[in-house]
Amino acid sequence: MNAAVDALRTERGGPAAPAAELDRLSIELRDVSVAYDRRLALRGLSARVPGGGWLALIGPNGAGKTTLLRAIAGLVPLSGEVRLGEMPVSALSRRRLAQLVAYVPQRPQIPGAMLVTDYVLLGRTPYIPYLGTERRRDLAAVARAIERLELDALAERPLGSLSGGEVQRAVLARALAQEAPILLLDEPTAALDVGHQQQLLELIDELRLERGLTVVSAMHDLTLAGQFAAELLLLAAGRVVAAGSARDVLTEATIGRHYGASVRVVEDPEGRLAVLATRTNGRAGTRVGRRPTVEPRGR
Amino acid sequence: MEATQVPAAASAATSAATAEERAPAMEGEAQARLAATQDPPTPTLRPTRLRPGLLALAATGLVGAALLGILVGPVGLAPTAVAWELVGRLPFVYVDSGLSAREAAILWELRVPRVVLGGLVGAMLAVAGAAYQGVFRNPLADPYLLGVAAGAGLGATLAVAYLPQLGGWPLSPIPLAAFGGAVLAVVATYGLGRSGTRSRTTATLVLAGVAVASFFTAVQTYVQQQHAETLREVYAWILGGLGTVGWQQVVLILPYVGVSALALLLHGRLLDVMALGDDEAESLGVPATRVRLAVVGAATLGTAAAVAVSGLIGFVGIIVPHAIRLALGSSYRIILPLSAIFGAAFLILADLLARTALAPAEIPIGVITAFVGAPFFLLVLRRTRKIG
Repeated sequence: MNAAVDALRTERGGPAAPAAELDRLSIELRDVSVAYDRRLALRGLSARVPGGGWLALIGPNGAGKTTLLRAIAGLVPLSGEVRLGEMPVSALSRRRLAQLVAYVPQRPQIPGAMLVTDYVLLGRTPYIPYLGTERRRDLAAVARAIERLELDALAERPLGSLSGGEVQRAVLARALAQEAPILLLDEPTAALDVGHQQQLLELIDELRLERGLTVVSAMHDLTLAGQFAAELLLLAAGRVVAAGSARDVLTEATIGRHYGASVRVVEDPEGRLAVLATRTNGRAGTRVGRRPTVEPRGR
Repeated sequence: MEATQVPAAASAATSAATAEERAPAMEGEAQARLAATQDPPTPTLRPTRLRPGLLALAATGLVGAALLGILVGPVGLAPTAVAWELVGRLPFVYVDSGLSAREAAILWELRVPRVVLGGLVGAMLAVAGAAYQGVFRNPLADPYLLGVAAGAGLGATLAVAYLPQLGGWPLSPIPLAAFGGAVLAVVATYGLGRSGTRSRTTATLVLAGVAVASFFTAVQTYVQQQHAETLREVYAWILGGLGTVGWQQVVLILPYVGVSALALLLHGRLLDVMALGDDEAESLGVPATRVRLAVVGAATLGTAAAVAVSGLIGFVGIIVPHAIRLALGSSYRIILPLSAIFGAAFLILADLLARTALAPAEIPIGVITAFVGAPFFLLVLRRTRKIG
């Protein structure tokens, strides 16, 4: 799998476009609560992501993963405090915040007729004055992002003509063109097959190392979450119920409790964990904190 | 926990190794990267832009339509004489065009102001339509979506029914009342649509527009019922027309149309960002609600002014932007300016047809635009369904 990806990269001409390493920026949440129509989506949540780290948010549907990402991106009113490095988010203008945080929603709007280049260029919006137009350095950033994600051949194609994996790369290129030190990804692999899932996450990890990005991603696939992110945060009903390394969080008991799922956690020879769902003939584990009801997604 | 060999997990080992090898390599490359950022590579990108050639072509088309509009009419004017007459109006140029005083009056007091008025109204309706489609992310949105038409209709009806028909008015009160009604309707729609939930969709705004429009139309119908003698006059206004003598109406709407159209044209890039939806636009630092308010405000003001003098001319705001969208792509940086130019040309030609097809009678221009527009509207609808 990885050999194939590496081969592809070598064929394309080794290390891709240069990009400056950004200042690493940590994220700190202190007692953050978010309410939607009086329903609490986050309840007094605290967490910290070191600059240049990768935190995966896991938890059942409706646990508050998306809300947490939106809170960091400054898209929901909240109580408590979110700090990026030393800066409280509430003190930053919308534009300044957009220069620091790139947010990729679970289902980004994809205007089918828009060309890939134009779409990636939208990532430069936080640097362009309200009624102004982009400048040379904006186009240079777009060129770098397109080259880095190997979209050159697709640059003048409309988004509607791309495959799911290609669209995901275009979305990532837009986020990259934003040149923000923090990258928030909501279920980045949701629409991809197993091969593209791994390729995308490898790519994100490379970008993280290259540029010193701080990555926070909501993830459904517990195996991928455990293998790529340095730290996991398990949310249930808007609270942190487990945090730490994959080995701390991904236990059969914890997952059974909070997902209401029956799983086995296994280990490969290198000591990495994989979570396998197993069939129990209707005796799946009991969830705590929340009844296993269907929650509206996308929040 | 049991340690079991899982084939899928084995690949992760490779990634760990490559990551560790990569880390020290990064240090060495940092210098090169820094240099590269300071001197960015010449971009070979071709982002969508309005190319000068295309703009020139469109402008030529508009000039052609305007000349046709000036030359064709019940009184034949010699093209060369008209050309000399137009040249003669340039500063510091003195030529004798050979037009008689009567012909010159027809040219300057009838034909030219009518063509200019048609151009202004057409440009405004088309550019406002394009802008509405952008901020509402709805291909069938047009300036009438939030109640401009119903408000203007009610304003005109009230003016005809209740204002004294005295000669004391410096200019006809109907356009002023129509303008006021149109602005009032959109303000009401905006107020109602926003006072509900802090919804992140534009659906509440559009629904409020439907409600306000129905309400205003109901009042208008009631007033007309009570004052049956006004029906004819109101009807004539609603059908629309550019019949004008002299420059008064042009001067009346020019400031509104000029400022509104300019404001909308400047929002092209932001409308492209708005195509991503409010949420993503805000995550890119764009205040989506404020942009929508600014665009709707500008489009409403300009449309209300245009409608006040021309009546309710439909479909221009939909067919013109869509024709451009189909031919040249989805970027509002192209759609907005070309909508203004082609909207002007389209309405000048539609007006030409309206006044010549059954000469000396005039067909209401709204009939012509709807006759062309309705079939096109259906085409857009079918195409949109295919994409959606």
